[in-house]
Amino acid sequence: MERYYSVHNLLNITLKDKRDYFSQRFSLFEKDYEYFSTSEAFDKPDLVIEIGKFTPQNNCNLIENDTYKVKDDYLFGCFKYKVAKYQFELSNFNRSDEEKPISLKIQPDFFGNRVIHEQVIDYVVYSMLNRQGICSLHASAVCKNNRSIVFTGPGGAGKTSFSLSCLKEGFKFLGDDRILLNNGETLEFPECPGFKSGNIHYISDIISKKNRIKLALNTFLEMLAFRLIGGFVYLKSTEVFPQYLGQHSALDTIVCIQPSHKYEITLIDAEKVIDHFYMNQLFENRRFLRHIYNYSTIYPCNSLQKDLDLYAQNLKKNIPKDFTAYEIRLRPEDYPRVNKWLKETILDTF
Amino acid sequence: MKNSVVKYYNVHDILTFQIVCDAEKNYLPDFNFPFSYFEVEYVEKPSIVLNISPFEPNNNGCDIVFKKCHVKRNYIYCRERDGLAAWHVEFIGIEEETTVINFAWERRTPKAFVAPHNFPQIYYLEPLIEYKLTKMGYCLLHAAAMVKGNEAILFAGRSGSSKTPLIAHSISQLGYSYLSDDKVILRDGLVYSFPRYVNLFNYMMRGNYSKELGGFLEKLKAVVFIRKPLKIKNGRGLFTFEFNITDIARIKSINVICRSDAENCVKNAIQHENKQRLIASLVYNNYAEMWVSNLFIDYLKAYAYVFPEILQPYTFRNLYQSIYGAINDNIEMSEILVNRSFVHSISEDLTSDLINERKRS
Repeated sequence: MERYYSVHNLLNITLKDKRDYFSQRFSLFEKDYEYFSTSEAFDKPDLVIEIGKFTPQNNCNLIENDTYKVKDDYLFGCFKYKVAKYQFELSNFNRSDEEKPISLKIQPDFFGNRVIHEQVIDYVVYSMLNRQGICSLHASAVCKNNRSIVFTGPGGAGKTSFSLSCLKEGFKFLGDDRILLNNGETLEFPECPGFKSGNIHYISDIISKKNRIKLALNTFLEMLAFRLIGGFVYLKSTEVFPQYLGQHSALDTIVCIQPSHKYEITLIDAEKVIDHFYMNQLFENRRFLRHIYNYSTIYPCNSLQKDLDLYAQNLKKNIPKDFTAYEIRLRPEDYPRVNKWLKETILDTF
Repeated sequence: MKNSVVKYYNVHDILTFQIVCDAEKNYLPDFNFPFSYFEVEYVEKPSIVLNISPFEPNNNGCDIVFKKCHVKRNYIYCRERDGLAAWHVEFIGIEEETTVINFAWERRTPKAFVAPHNFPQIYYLEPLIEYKLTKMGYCLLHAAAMVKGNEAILFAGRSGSSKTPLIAHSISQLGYSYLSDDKVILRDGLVYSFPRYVNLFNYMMRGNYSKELGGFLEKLKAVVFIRKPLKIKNGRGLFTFEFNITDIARIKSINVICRSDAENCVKNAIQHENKQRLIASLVYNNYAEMWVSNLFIDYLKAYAYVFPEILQPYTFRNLYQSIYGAINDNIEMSEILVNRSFVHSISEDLTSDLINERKRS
């Protein structure tokens, strides 16, 4: 089965799926990228993803006790994550053959179907967008009247909660974990939102009864599993609140959320914002960086390795000249207070 | 005042550190295990103090980064969990001359009962040593090294590239002496030894060194061997070694070694113009090692989220400069590819090839 995805007409992805029915149902990639799916086939896709059985190539260098097999313009890796196992192979990423697309083959086991999108595919997509000059930001965002607010912060700071809380104020949703930034414009990237028990109540008024029940079931199952395992139910953002999906809009305000010991709101400059985004990227991409560094021990000059430097350049280039950035330090008990501040100072000016 | 055991260590007068732990909960001899080679009588002003005992964290006024790291200027506190084990750790004075690490177990797994004091040494002390050395302009290179006649041959490569069997073979059969089998310190054309788990290497040399410590029985044997009280020799450490250890030598050649599934072994001497490429290779080799489940680096990244300049010593440019500075033009550099079956039948060719080259030059 083949599927086609076009990420804002910037990146065309062809997905060739050779898995059985159950694996496909269990897989999350299709749900996450549903928003970008198109019906037409591409003549020249930029990235071809094949999921299913494949045989790695021979005559390779073996790295890290055979975890990796590399050769020129070719990277194969075999990984375990909790109960999941998967192996992937990435080739032509240096574009030694300009005519051909970058090829990514993945062979997950049953549980692997759950993790391959966030452990492999996403990074490849971000990295390819990065080469086209578009940054992916680890942030959530909402927009209204063609202007957007971006919430960023280290993991667990409450990005999702803040953006969901804005929906009630007539804002539209751009993305929950990742958004794209191109020339001062935020582009939507609506993957499945990470609903947690703490942030469901923000959207309970605006979603359908069926989805509410699904989310309640998810919370219940997570409770049963002592919160060690999560994400039993995934809802596509196109299904949860289709009327609330926004489109690309000019970046207007950035809010950096920082859990801390005190409540404090300060205005910060662009340099600080860029530092935050860069550090966030460095931490969030550590899994993929490990692949890159291992590959680079044998082939130090490659296009993957230039990714981070390019990312820093793209950040500087794409962040608009005039925007307001706040840094909010807050304690857990300050969230209602910040919501109020947010409504009064930012949301009402839109 | 609690009854505690204090051990002092001195790394070639470059860096000193001290480890303190509760006497009553003392699981010797593992306490003295990873860095035992550097143990000395007393150190005046240690750069790092590692306290392994329950402590009261001083984490008021911190920002919380990546859900778990509590960060303020010069201070990191973190509570960690891995499966059933749980511990917490704090770093005081991370940017200062003297850094204190406080470490305490909250819950231990059987693994941590066998060697409770190794854990903080490997996960926190060693990366911190690496950080301090890097900041001082030294480079802790991920490489194995052996010496003959004051000239050292280094093998850098990712884990599993058969560095250890290669030098074990050279030491036992070809009369080389040992510098290190995992990491070395570089500076100004010189290489300093950095033996870690030297007693484990000792065990490998006694047994069949080409066998990896894979099976449970092998591991158990190694543990029994290491726990045995051994004779004191040269007033340094607790062990009698099966081999000579050299502390400092001139770098003769640096080889990047990698295993391959191709049939033949290949050795490419690197031309002078391509040295840059090989140094970049060495930097990435260090990076890749750092990026494999290194908790300390995660903490540094969390710290850098609030105070970005902390990662300065680890930038590609800085690491490249410090390796480049340590290598002068006379040092030969080469890339070696070794065959898959190499680990079990050590190739005489490779080492004799290296020796022939020594004679020629």
